[in-house]
Amino acid sequence: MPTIVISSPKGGAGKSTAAVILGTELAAMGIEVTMLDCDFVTGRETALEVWAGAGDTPAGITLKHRVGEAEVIREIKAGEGDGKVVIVDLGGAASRLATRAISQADLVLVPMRPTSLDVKIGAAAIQMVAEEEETLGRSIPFVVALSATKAIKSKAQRGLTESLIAEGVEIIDPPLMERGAFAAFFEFGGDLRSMPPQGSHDAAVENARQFAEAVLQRLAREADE
Amino acid sequence: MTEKKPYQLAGLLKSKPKDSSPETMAQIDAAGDRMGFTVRDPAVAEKPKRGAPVRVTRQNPRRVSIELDGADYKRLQLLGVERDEKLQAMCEQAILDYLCKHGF
Repeated sequence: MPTIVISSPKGGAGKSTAAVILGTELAAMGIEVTMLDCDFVTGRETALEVWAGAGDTPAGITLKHRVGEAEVIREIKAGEGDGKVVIVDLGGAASRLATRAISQADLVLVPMRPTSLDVKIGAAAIQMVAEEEETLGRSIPFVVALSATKAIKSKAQRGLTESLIAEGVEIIDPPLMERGAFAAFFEFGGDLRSMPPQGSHDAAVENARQFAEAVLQRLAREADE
Repeated sequence: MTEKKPYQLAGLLKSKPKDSSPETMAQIDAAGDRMGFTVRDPAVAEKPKRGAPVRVTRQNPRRVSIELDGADYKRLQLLGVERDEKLQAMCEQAILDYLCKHGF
Protein backbone atom coordinates (compact mmCIF):
# COMPACT_ATOMS: atom_id res chain seq x y z
CA MET A 1 0.00 0.00 0.00
CA PRO A 2 1.70 3.24 -1.02
CA THR A 3 1.95 5.66 1.85
CA ILE A 4 1.71 9.39 1.36
CA VAL A 5 2.96 11.37 4.33
CA ILE A 6 1.82 14.97 4.53
CA SER A 7 4.39 16.87 6.52
CA SER A 8 5.50 20.36 7.35
CA PRO A 9 6.73 21.62 10.70
CA LYS A 10 4.85 24.86 9.96
CA GLY A 11 1.35 25.07 11.38
CA GLY A 12 -1.39 26.33 9.06
CA ALA A 13 0.44 25.27 5.91
CA GLY A 14 -2.61 23.30 4.74
CA LYS A 15 -1.64 19.78 5.79
CA SER A 16 -5.06 18.64 7.00
CA THR A 17 -6.88 20.35 4.13
CA ALA A 18 -4.56 18.65 1.64
CA ALA A 19 -5.13 15.32 3.44
CA VAL A 20 -8.92 15.66 3.26
CA ILE A 21 -8.88 16.78 -0.38
CA LEU A 22 -6.56 13.97 -1.39
CA GLY A 23 -8.37 11.31 0.65
CA THR A 24 -11.84 12.21 -0.59
CA GLU A 25 -10.76 12.55 -4.22
CA LEU A 26 -8.92 9.22 -4.25
CA ALA A 27 -11.94 7.58 -2.61
CA ALA A 28 -14.17 9.14 -5.30
CA MET A 29 -11.94 7.44 -7.89
CA GLY A 30 -12.69 4.10 -6.22
CA ILE A 31 -9.38 3.73 -4.40
CA GLU A 32 -9.41 2.42 -0.84
CA VAL A 33 -7.90 5.02 1.44
CA THR A 34 -6.74 4.79 5.04
CA MET A 35 -6.21 8.16 6.70
CA LEU A 36 -4.05 8.32 9.80
CA ASP A 37 -4.67 11.37 11.93
CA CYS A 38 -1.33 12.13 13.58
CA ASP A 39 -1.97 15.84 14.11
CA PHE A 40 -3.16 15.90 17.69
CA VAL A 41 -2.70 17.73 20.94
CA THR A 42 -4.13 16.19 24.11
CA GLY A 43 -7.50 17.67 25.07
CA ARG A 44 -8.22 19.35 21.73
CA GLU A 45 -10.10 18.14 18.68
CA THR A 46 -8.01 17.46 15.62
CA ALA A 47 -8.86 18.87 12.20
CA LEU A 48 -9.72 15.39 10.95
CA GLU A 49 -11.96 14.81 13.97
CA VAL A 50 -13.78 18.05 13.18
CA TRP A 51 -14.16 16.96 9.55
CA ALA A 52 -15.33 13.46 10.50
CA GLY A 53 -17.73 14.87 13.09
CA ALA A 54 -19.29 17.35 10.67
CA GLY A 55 -20.69 14.80 8.22
CA ASP A 56 -20.56 11.25 6.95
CA THR A 57 -17.13 9.93 6.08
CA PRO A 58 -17.20 9.06 2.37
CA ALA A 59 -17.29 5.38 1.38
CA GLY A 60 -13.87 3.86 0.86
CA ILE A 61 -12.17 5.90 3.60
CA THR A 62 -11.00 4.35 6.86
CA LEU A 63 -10.06 6.96 9.43
CA LYS A 64 -7.82 6.33 12.40
CA HIS A 65 -7.53 9.17 14.86
CA ARG A 66 -4.77 10.11 17.25
CA VAL A 67 -2.14 7.75 15.97
CA GLY A 68 0.97 8.39 18.04
CA GLU A 69 4.66 7.72 17.57
CA ALA A 70 4.38 4.31 19.21
CA GLU A 71 1.68 3.11 16.79
CA VAL A 72 2.34 4.91 13.54
CA ILE A 73 4.51 2.28 11.86
CA ARG A 74 2.18 -0.53 12.92
CA GLU A 75 -0.84 1.37 11.57
CA ILE A 76 0.88 2.14 8.27
CA LYS A 77 1.71 -1.53 7.83
CA ALA A 78 -1.67 -2.73 9.11
CA GLY A 79 -3.49 -2.61 5.80
CA GLU A 80 -0.59 -3.41 3.52
CA GLY A 81 -1.73 -4.34 0.04
CA ASP A 82 -1.24 -2.93 -3.43
CA GLY A 83 -3.70 -0.58 -5.09
CA LYS A 84 -4.65 1.14 -1.83
CA VAL A 85 -3.32 4.33 -0.34
CA VAL A 86 -2.45 5.36 3.20
CA ILE A 87 -2.45 9.10 3.90
CA VAL A 88 -0.69 10.27 7.05
CA ASP A 89 -1.62 13.73 8.29
CA LEU A 90 1.25 14.84 10.50
CA GLY A 91 1.16 17.61 13.05
CA GLY A 92 2.91 20.93 12.69
CA ALA A 93 5.76 19.94 14.96
CA ALA A 94 9.27 18.72 14.33
CA SER A 95 8.57 15.46 16.12
CA ARG A 96 9.75 11.89 16.37
CA LEU A 97 6.32 10.87 15.07
CA ALA A 98 7.13 12.81 11.88
CA THR A 99 10.51 11.18 11.37
CA ARG A 100 9.09 7.69 11.91
CA ALA A 101 6.21 8.26 9.49
CA ILE A 102 8.53 9.72 6.85
CA SER A 103 10.71 6.60 7.08
CA GLN A 104 7.76 4.54 5.80
CA ALA A 105 6.67 6.95 3.05
CA ASP A 106 6.43 6.23 -0.66
CA LEU A 107 5.85 9.93 -1.18
CA VAL A 108 6.22 12.89 1.16
CA LEU A 109 3.96 15.80 0.37
CA VAL A 110 5.03 19.12 1.87
CA PRO A 111 2.25 21.71 1.70
CA MET A 112 3.36 25.33 1.69
CA ARG A 113 1.48 28.56 1.36
CA PRO A 114 3.31 30.80 -1.08
CA THR A 115 5.05 32.81 1.62
CA SER A 116 8.74 32.92 2.42
CA LEU A 117 7.99 31.86 6.02
CA ASP A 118 6.23 28.67 4.88
CA VAL A 119 9.01 27.89 2.45
CA LYS A 120 11.73 28.45 5.07
CA ILE A 121 10.03 26.32 7.72
CA GLY A 122 8.84 23.74 5.19
CA ALA A 123 12.45 23.33 4.12
CA ALA A 124 13.07 21.60 7.47
CA ALA A 125 10.75 18.78 6.37
CA ILE A 126 12.67 18.48 3.10
CA GLN A 127 15.99 18.39 4.96
CA MET A 128 14.58 15.68 7.22
CA VAL A 129 13.64 13.59 4.18
CA ALA A 130 17.20 13.93 2.85
CA GLU A 131 18.61 12.91 6.23
CA GLU A 132 16.37 9.84 6.36
CA GLU A 133 17.26 8.87 2.81
CA GLU A 134 20.89 8.75 3.87
CA THR A 135 20.09 6.73 6.99
CA LEU A 136 17.82 4.27 5.20
CA GLY A 137 19.86 3.98 2.02
CA ARG A 138 16.79 4.40 -0.16
CA SER A 139 15.23 7.35 -1.89
CA ILE A 140 12.13 8.92 -0.37
CA PRO A 141 10.47 11.01 -3.07
CA PHE A 142 9.02 14.29 -1.94
CA VAL A 143 7.01 17.00 -3.59
CA VAL A 144 5.86 20.42 -2.53
CA ALA A 145 2.16 21.24 -2.81
CA LEU A 146 1.50 24.96 -2.87
CA SER A 147 -1.68 25.67 -0.95
CA ALA A 148 -4.17 28.53 -0.67
CA THR A 149 -2.86 30.10 -3.86
CA LYS A 150 -4.73 32.86 -5.68
CA ALA A 151 -6.02 32.67 -9.23
CA ILE A 152 -3.58 35.41 -10.19
CA LYS A 153 -0.07 34.46 -9.15
CA SER A 154 1.55 37.04 -6.91
CA LYS A 155 5.11 38.17 -7.46
CA ALA A 156 6.04 36.39 -4.22
CA GLN A 157 4.50 33.13 -5.42
CA ARG A 158 6.31 33.30 -8.74
CA GLY A 159 9.61 34.08 -7.02
CA LEU A 160 9.24 31.29 -4.45
CA THR A 161 8.21 28.80 -7.12
CA GLU A 162 11.25 29.68 -9.22
CA SER A 163 13.60 29.37 -6.25
CA LEU A 164 12.16 25.96 -5.28
CA ILE A 165 12.53 24.69 -8.83
CA ALA A 166 16.08 26.08 -8.97
CA GLU A 167 16.84 23.99 -5.86
CA GLY A 168 15.58 20.91 -7.65
CA VAL A 169 12.36 20.69 -5.63
CA GLU A 170 9.42 19.19 -7.50
CA ILE A 171 6.13 21.05 -7.19
CA ILE A 172 2.79 19.36 -7.73
CA ASP A 173 0.85 20.98 -10.53
CA PRO A 174 -1.84 22.24 -10.06
CA PRO A 175 -1.48 23.93 -6.66
CA LEU A 176 -4.41 23.89 -4.24
CA MET A 177 -6.20 27.16 -4.78
CA GLU A 178 -7.78 29.22 -2.02
CA ARG A 179 -11.40 28.07 -2.28
CA GLY A 180 -14.35 28.44 0.05
CA ALA A 181 -15.26 24.81 -0.59
CA PHE A 182 -11.93 23.62 0.82
CA ALA A 183 -12.50 25.54 4.05
CA ALA A 184 -16.08 24.20 4.14
CA PHE A 185 -14.85 20.63 4.53
CA PHE A 186 -14.62 21.34 8.25
CA GLU A 187 -18.12 22.80 8.35
CA PHE A 188 -20.02 20.17 6.39
CA GLY A 189 -17.74 17.11 6.45
CA GLY A 190 -18.03 14.52 3.67
CA ASP A 191 -16.60 15.40 0.27
CA LEU A 192 -16.93 18.21 -2.26
CA ARG A 193 -19.79 16.47 -4.01
CA SER A 194 -21.89 16.06 -0.87
CA MET A 195 -21.56 19.56 0.57
CA PRO A 196 -23.78 22.53 -0.40
CA PRO A 197 -22.17 24.54 -3.22
CA GLN A 198 -19.63 27.07 -1.95
CA GLY A 199 -18.53 29.98 -4.12
CA SER A 200 -16.87 28.74 -7.30
CA HIS A 201 -17.72 25.19 -6.37
CA ASP A 202 -17.17 23.59 -9.77
CA ALA A 203 -13.73 25.16 -9.97
CA ALA A 204 -12.89 23.77 -6.53
CA VAL A 205 -14.05 20.27 -7.55
CA GLU A 206 -11.94 20.45 -10.70
CA ASN A 207 -8.91 21.75 -8.80
CA ALA A 208 -9.19 18.95 -6.22
CA ARG A 209 -9.58 16.28 -8.90
CA GLN A 210 -6.59 17.50 -10.89
CA PHE A 211 -4.50 17.77 -7.73
CA ALA A 212 -5.31 14.18 -6.69
CA GLU A 213 -4.59 12.91 -10.22
CA ALA A 214 -1.23 14.70 -10.21
CA VAL A 215 -0.32 13.04 -6.89
CA LEU A 216 -1.44 9.64 -8.22
CA GLN A 217 0.63 10.10 -11.36
CA ARG A 218 3.65 10.95 -9.20
CA LEU A 219 3.08 7.78 -7.16
CA ALA A 220 2.64 5.65 -10.26
CA ARG A 221 5.86 7.08 -11.71
CA GLU A 222 7.66 6.06 -8.53
CA ALA A 223 6.31 2.51 -8.82
CA ASP A 224 7.62 2.33 -12.40
CA GLU A 225 11.16 3.36 -11.42
CA MET B 1 -5.79 8.30 -28.63
CA THR B 2 -7.42 8.40 -25.24
CA GLU B 3 -5.54 9.71 -22.26
CA LYS B 4 -4.82 7.08 -19.65
CA LYS B 5 -6.52 8.07 -16.40
CA PRO B 6 -4.43 7.78 -13.26
CA TYR B 7 -7.08 5.76 -11.46
CA GLN B 8 -6.78 3.16 -14.19
CA LEU B 9 -3.21 2.83 -12.99
CA ALA B 10 -4.41 1.78 -9.57
CA GLY B 11 -2.71 -1.58 -10.05
CA LEU B 12 0.57 0.27 -10.25
CA LEU B 13 0.12 1.78 -6.83
CA LYS B 14 2.64 -0.51 -5.28
CA SER B 15 4.46 0.06 -2.09
CA LYS B 16 8.19 -0.47 -1.99
CA PRO B 17 9.56 -2.61 0.85
CA LYS B 18 10.61 -0.55 3.85
CA ASP B 19 12.80 -1.41 6.76
CA SER B 20 11.14 -0.88 10.13
CA SER B 21 13.44 -2.98 12.28
CA PRO B 22 14.18 -1.65 15.77
CA GLU B 23 17.79 -0.94 14.74
CA THR B 24 16.71 1.13 11.76
CA MET B 25 14.09 2.96 13.82
CA ALA B 26 16.75 3.82 16.38
CA GLN B 27 18.88 5.26 13.57
CA ILE B 28 15.88 7.20 12.27
CA ASP B 29 15.16 8.58 15.75
CA ALA B 30 18.81 9.60 16.09
CA ALA B 31 18.72 11.30 12.68
CA GLY B 32 15.56 13.13 13.74
CA ASP B 33 17.20 14.24 16.99
CA ARG B 34 20.15 15.63 15.05
CA MET B 35 17.75 17.59 12.82
CA GLY B 36 15.79 18.96 15.76
CA PHE B 37 12.76 16.69 15.28
CA THR B 38 12.60 16.12 19.01
CA VAL B 39 8.99 16.86 20.04
CA ARG B 40 7.71 13.77 21.81
CA ASP B 41 4.27 12.31 21.56
CA PRO B 42 2.14 13.35 24.55
CA ALA B 43 1.25 9.69 25.09
CA VAL B 44 4.90 8.83 25.76
CA ALA B 45 5.76 9.47 29.39
CA GLU B 46 9.20 10.96 29.82
CA LYS B 47 11.51 9.71 32.50
CA PRO B 48 11.35 12.22 35.39
CA LYS B 49 14.49 14.26 35.78
CA ARG B 50 16.49 14.11 38.96
CA GLY B 51 15.32 16.81 41.35
CA ALA B 52 11.99 17.25 39.56
CA PRO B 53 8.95 17.66 41.87
CA VAL B 54 7.53 14.33 42.94
CA ARG B 55 4.22 13.53 41.30
CA VAL B 56 1.32 13.39 43.73
CA THR B 57 0.05 9.85 43.96
CA ARG B 58 -3.41 9.01 45.30
CA GLN B 59 -4.10 6.68 48.16
CA ASN B 60 -6.05 3.63 47.06
CA PRO B 61 -7.15 5.20 43.74
CA ARG B 62 -10.40 4.11 42.11
CA ARG B 63 -11.71 5.15 38.73
CA VAL B 64 -15.05 6.75 37.95
CA SER B 65 -16.20 6.71 34.38
CA ILE B 66 -18.94 8.96 33.10
CA GLU B 67 -20.73 8.99 29.79
CA LEU B 68 -22.09 12.33 28.61
CA ASP B 69 -24.20 13.36 25.67
CA GLY B 70 -22.00 14.52 22.81
CA ALA B 71 -23.22 18.11 23.09
CA ASP B 72 -22.54 18.23 26.84
CA TYR B 73 -19.10 16.73 26.33
CA LYS B 74 -18.35 19.30 23.67
CA ARG B 75 -19.39 22.15 25.98
CA LEU B 76 -17.21 20.76 28.73
CA GLN B 77 -14.31 20.34 26.36
CA LEU B 78 -14.62 23.90 25.05
CA LEU B 79 -14.81 25.23 28.62
CA GLY B 80 -11.69 23.24 29.45
CA VAL B 81 -9.84 24.78 26.54
CA GLU B 82 -11.10 28.25 27.48
CA ARG B 83 -10.07 27.90 31.13
CA ASP B 84 -7.00 25.81 30.38
CA GLU B 85 -8.24 23.09 32.73
CA LYS B 86 -8.09 19.38 32.19
CA LEU B 87 -11.33 17.38 32.07
CA GLN B 88 -10.00 15.27 34.92
CA ALA B 89 -9.64 18.33 37.17
CA MET B 90 -13.09 19.62 36.21
CA CYS B 91 -14.75 16.27 36.93
CA GLU B 92 -12.93 15.93 40.25
CA GLN B 93 -14.08 19.38 41.30
CA ALA B 94 -17.68 18.63 40.30
CA ILE B 95 -17.68 15.40 42.32
CA LEU B 96 -16.13 17.10 45.36
CA ASP B 97 -18.79 19.85 45.13
CA TYR B 98 -21.47 17.18 45.00
CA LEU B 99 -20.07 15.42 48.10
CA CYS B 100 -19.84 18.71 50.00
CA LYS B 101 -23.40 19.61 48.99
CA HIS B 102 -24.64 16.38 50.53
CA GLY B 103 -22.60 16.76 53.71
CA PHE B 104 -19.89 14.16 53.03
